[in-house]
Amino acid sequence: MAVDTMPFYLGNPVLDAFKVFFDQSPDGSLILSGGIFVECNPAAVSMLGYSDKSCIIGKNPLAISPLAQADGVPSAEKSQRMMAEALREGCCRFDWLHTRADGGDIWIEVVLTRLSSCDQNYIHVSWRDAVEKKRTQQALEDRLIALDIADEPAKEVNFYDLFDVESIQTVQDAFAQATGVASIITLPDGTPITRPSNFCRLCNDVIRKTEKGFSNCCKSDAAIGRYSQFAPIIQPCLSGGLWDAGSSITVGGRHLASWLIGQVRNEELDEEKMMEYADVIGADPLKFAEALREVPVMSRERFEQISRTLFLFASELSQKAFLNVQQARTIRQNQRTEAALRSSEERFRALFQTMTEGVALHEVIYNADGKAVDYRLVMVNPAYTRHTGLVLPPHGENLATQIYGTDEPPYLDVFSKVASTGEPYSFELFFVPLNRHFSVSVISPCIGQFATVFEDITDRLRKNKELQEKNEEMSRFTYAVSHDLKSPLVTIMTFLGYLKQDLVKNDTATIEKDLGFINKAADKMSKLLDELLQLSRIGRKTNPQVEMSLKDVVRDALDMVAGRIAGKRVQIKESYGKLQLVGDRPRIAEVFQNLIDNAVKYMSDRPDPLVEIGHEVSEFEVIIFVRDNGIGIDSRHLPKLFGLFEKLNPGTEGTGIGLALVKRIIEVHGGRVWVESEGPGKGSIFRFTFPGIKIMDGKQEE
Amino acid sequence: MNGEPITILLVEDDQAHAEIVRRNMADFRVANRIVHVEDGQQALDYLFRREPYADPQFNPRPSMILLDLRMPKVDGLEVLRQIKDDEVLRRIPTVILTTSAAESDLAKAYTYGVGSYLVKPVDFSKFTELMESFGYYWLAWNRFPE
Repeated sequence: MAVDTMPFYLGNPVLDAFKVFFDQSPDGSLILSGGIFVECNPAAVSMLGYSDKSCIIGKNPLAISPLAQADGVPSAEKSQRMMAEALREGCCRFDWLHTRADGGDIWIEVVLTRLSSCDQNYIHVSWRDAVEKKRTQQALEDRLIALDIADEPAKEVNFYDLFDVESIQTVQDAFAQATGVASIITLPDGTPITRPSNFCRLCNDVIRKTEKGFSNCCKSDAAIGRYSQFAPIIQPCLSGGLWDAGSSITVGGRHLASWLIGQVRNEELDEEKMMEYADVIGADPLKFAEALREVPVMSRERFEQISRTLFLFASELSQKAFLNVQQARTIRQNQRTEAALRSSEERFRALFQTMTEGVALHEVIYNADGKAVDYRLVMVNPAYTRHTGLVLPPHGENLATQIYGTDEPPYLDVFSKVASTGEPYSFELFFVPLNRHFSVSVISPCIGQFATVFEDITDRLRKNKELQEKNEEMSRFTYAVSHDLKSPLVTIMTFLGYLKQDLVKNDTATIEKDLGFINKAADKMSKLLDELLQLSRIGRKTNPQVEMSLKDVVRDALDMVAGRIAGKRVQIKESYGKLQLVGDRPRIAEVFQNLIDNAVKYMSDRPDPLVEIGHEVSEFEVIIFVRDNGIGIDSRHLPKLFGLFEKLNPGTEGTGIGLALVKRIIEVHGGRVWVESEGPGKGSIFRFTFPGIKIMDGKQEE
Repeated sequence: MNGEPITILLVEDDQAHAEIVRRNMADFRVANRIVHVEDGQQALDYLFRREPYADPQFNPRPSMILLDLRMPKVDGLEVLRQIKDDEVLRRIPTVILTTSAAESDLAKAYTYGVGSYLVKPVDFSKFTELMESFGYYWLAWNRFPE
């Protein structure tokens, strides 16, 4: 046939060739259409153990598969996925468990190929028996597991851990066959591992069949197969005396097995001596002699050559096994490292996602001169969004200026310094773009990058400030109290002294006067202590919140001050409307009581002293007021009025707590109180708000 | 030292305490006259010769000032500060006589330049002793400028 003539040309002969291939291929070949097998070849039929292709055609692949695949995924789901992948990518290769005709499962390596040239969507299916592959995989896994144990120094590795006996058997058989010697592999103590290859009748059927003979053979094998670093051990066997050679299989310094060959004789062999052995072991001399003659003859030279080859093989095997162990260890190590890494990554990811502090990873952007000009947000955790309210667009450039809407990237100098020096830096800042206070730690995981870990401390700072203010108020309070309690005490002690003197002199007028001072001072202390107690109770709102009309609570207050104001001829005018409020009734009564008391106290000598209680409505709230036409208040003193112990008029009664009490009560109910006065002689007006106060209807009559 | 009684301006809001000082100083052998005002505002008005203390004849400039601290309207320390701020008034020796032993008050008082700081004892004999010593030191031993 001419070289340049194609044996086939397009047209029927080519299709015929493919048809032949289809029919004769050892691999299964099928066509899927619409998810059903529409054609298959004989190999496919026989792989599944069916008799006829009608058992496959018309069926869905799921019909010849178990419900779930080996990894637990339902076959239905996985087959959908694989077919979709084939249609999408063009082809797809995977291992699949099919069900044979006899019900058993079979591993098949499947290749799906999309046949897009046809009008319909056909998928070609190729099946290859994957039993071997799976077995090898399994053996490797087993070996790796075994080697895991091998890692522990206490456990002894043995031959079976590292070698597949069947494979070794094959090698051994082949070697023996090729060279014409007998061969066997034993454990170091001589116990056979493999089946004997090419054993002569003498050894196999005669000598080894006797107890003594067998034991001697093993001992001999052990001896001859012992570790020898550079050369095989070649010598007559210690049992029968035939020539033997042995090489050890040593892995990682451990003698795992002995590979023995031999059972040959040469011209040096002393037949007589050999026959003696028959007696030793108690074998039939006739059979012994017969078998002996069958023992192959081989020159010593040849045998030694074969032995050296054996040595080479055994060394190679040992070396490979050793490398295998190393490799397996490495693989195992890598797997462990990977697993550890994965779980570590998982942990960190979990931490990253759930931690309450915001974390943001950034990259510094440098200009051509190497100067930091901006930075980009690379990654943020959910807490970042919680704190800042900002979400990082997944595909944006995410420059700081963009994210925060500023002209300059905030804190660029601080951040870029950390990014270049690697030195961590912590500070607190007020972040203008977000109007909140943050406590920030900046670190640099690698040069040019920085990460911020921050916490919104706005609330904490506010609380701290409040706490500090409270503390200051507390210490002012304590100071004031101790001072104001000490003062009357000085009076009492001193005047007691004077009293003693007065009594001696019997000076009645002075006695009276001095007793007066003492009494007053004692009263003052008592009152102070009472009011202090009241003040401390205010914060705790010990009384239940009740609903009441303003009229009721004002009347309560008026009842209480009635005695005090009776003598002063002060007119009380109630001009408030029908108002309803919820609060601590006795405390609110105290508010009015104190304000009325105050107003009455600071009345001048005018003929028409008037205190008015009313309400106003401003833009958004209801305001209650208590107005008087008394002596008024100098504007300079207005700020200090509600301060504790700030008395404007020292000569009058009262401890100076009254207005502080009023303030406290109002504030506890959520309102605020303030005073206005146009100046001395112009009266004053105290106003306060009371959240929740409601106007019911019309003004009440006076 | 001539025979004229020494005028002491007593700035004290507590009547009883003022009475104590008055009684003690009245007994003292060095003639003295107590002018008593009840709060810081009055003290300043007196010293700066404002109404109703404008007339120098009825309101002689004091040779020394006894000052209480915690007073309404204008606090003792504020009075002290204003006194020391004034070129003329600063020459008048000031002694604080108060119940407060607070460090902060002490520090501030001396920062402003008070002459001495006395704490009222809670004990009759001690108070008496204090006032005697005070009298001795300031009225008997101490010299006042003209």
